[in-house]
Amino acid sequence: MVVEQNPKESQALQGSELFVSLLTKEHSRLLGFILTLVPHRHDAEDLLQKVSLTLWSKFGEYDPTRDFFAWASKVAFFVVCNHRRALYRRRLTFSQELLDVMSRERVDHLEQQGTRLDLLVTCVEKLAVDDQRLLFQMYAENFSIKDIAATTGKAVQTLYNRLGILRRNLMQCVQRKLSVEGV
Amino acid sequence: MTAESNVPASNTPDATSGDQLTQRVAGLSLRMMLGEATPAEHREFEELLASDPAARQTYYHLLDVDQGLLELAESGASVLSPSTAISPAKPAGKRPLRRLSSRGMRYLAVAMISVVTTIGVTRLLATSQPSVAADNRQRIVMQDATPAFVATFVRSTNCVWANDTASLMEGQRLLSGNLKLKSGLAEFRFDSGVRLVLEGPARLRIVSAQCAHLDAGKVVLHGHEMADEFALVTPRGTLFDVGTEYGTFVDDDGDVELHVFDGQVRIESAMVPAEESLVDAGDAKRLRTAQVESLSLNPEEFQREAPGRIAGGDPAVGGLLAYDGFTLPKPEDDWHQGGFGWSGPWLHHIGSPKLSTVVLDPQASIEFESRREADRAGLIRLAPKKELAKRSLAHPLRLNMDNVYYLSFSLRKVENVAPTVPQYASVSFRSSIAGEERRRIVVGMSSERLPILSHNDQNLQVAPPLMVGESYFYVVKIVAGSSTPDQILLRIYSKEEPPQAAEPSAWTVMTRPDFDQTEYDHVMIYSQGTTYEVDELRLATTWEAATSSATPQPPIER
Repeated sequence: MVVEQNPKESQALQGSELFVSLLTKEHSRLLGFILTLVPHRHDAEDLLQKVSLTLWSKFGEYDPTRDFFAWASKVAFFVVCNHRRALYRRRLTFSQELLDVMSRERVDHLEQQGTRLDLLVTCVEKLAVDDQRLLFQMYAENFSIKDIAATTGKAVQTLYNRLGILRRNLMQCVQRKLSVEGV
Repeated sequence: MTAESNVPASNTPDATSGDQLTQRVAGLSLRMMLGEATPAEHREFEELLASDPAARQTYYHLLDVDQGLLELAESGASVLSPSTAISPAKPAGKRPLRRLSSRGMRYLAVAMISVVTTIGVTRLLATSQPSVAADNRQRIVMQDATPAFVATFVRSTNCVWANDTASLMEGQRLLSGNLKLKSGLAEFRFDSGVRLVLEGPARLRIVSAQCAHLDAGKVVLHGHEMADEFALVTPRGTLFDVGTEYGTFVDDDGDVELHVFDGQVRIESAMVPAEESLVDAGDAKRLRTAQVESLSLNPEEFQREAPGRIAGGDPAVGGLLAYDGFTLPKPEDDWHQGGFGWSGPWLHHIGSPKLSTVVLDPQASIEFESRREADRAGLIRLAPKKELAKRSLAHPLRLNMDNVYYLSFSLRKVENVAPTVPQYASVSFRSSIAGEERRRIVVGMSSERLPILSHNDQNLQVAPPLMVGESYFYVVKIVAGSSTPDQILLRIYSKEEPPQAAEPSAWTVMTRPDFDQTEYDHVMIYSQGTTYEVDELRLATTWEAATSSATPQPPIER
């Protein structure tokens, strides 16, 4: 069946390609932004999905001469605030005042996220095998600390402490590299 | 720290406060990330972030670490893999070619499906409705992220709901859902204008503003002249009305009786022949599995209206949470302390000992003549400067719980001044709770004399403008839900059209449903630029208590 292409329809398809391209490019920063406001990973990821749909529905309002992330982060903030009630009751987000402050600061902070994530790779490469394995199990395989304790025979608190140390050390490693590289 | 690595092999506790701060932020953020933070830890973390910018910066860096580890792990990069071998260090570290994780691809898949769906929908509209204007064909209709209300529970008489149906409050706004009424009468007004009186025992499913399913029991449907056909789906067919009144009963076998009191009803059913599908006023039918029978009309079998709560008691008291008529029973009384349902006097600011400087006129009244009572003389007059009066509520507005509130007051703009001068007035709900100070529900009159309604980031104005020198009766309905969105509705009455005993079917303006869990603990009256008068402020949980013309008396303390 030949479908006659409506000129406006082909415009819509081009718009969708642009949208997907922009969203792909800023996916990481958007998730980083939402994680700031909703620290629980799975809820943040669910909200990112809602944000993506909302961004698409509002894409007609987006001015292509403006920075996409700046616009998208505002929409994301709105979506998070809309879901704040349920999240706050489950202690998964923060007060509105704090969200307002952090959303502003984090947008600026995320400008260098790409660089920080690149530097993180070299920091992770230097870790001991067991530490890399612990991180993989937590972040990729979504194990709980209790699961890992059960399989490794280590105490929950020991693993908790180790994970905390690794996170802090990696953060400090990235910061040192940033200062060395003069960024 | 090893020679080749910038990553310490172990973490040596550092006594400096900076390291302690980092440890605290890292520990608490890890607990939050894993969903294991206790309420106390959540509070501690929130206070720490709110009070210390350095803590926030540390938190942002840790978030990047978490996110980076997640991306590395999900991208299958060898640098973070289940392999026991450590891959050789790469020069000038760069992340593995960044591709979206499977989760990320799912997000895009959803977005792409949405794109295809909407284009498909617009094409369908274009082909099936050739008269649709060209610009409308490109309108993208996306379901709003916030669920939409479709009906209001208006009135009840002795309702007993089934255990798995939450008890409804009169005035409550409803999403689609199932209702099981064991006994009593319940009246619903759909947003299409159609009214439905349900008589228990009955099972009803609200689908949309134009559709419901009656699975068992009795319903009387009152159509609305402006509404499209309402579809009432029964086990034996769908009943469509246009501006009709009819009763229908679904029995235990699923057979359906239809009695048409006014207008006409169209039946859509495979077993009803076309020539019998229209039922006129005065006729009745029974729809069985394989046949349609004619019946005698029997209006007495149906309760056509829900009478509401049993009469008795002072409607001005039942449901009244706070009242101030701005009267001065004795000259020595202090008007700032008048009324009931308050926690403290009218102040310039909550928490400050300074009383509001707004002036009371004990003789005047701006109530409509038809409502005025001699024992309620008195109003407050806000001078043409910035005037402020705040008072704490003994019973705060809790938007984090299932509640329906009504606020009413009279407002009059005494005179206009130069149009360049800001000259507006408002009555609002505010919160003095830390972190919630910027939340608000505001109603009033703008500088252009337009009615205004604001709820946090929603700011609405409607035309036409109100008149200078005229009194208006504002009634605000606040629908609060613990797990459903909240909505604010405003209706403004004039002396030509005073409020009725029942809640209106149409409102002057309403906000879109939105989530708000604020506890609003005080009322603020504000004006600037010119003289305004405010009178008879009431906060209630029923329409009757908020709008009754009887003088409220203090309720009996429970």
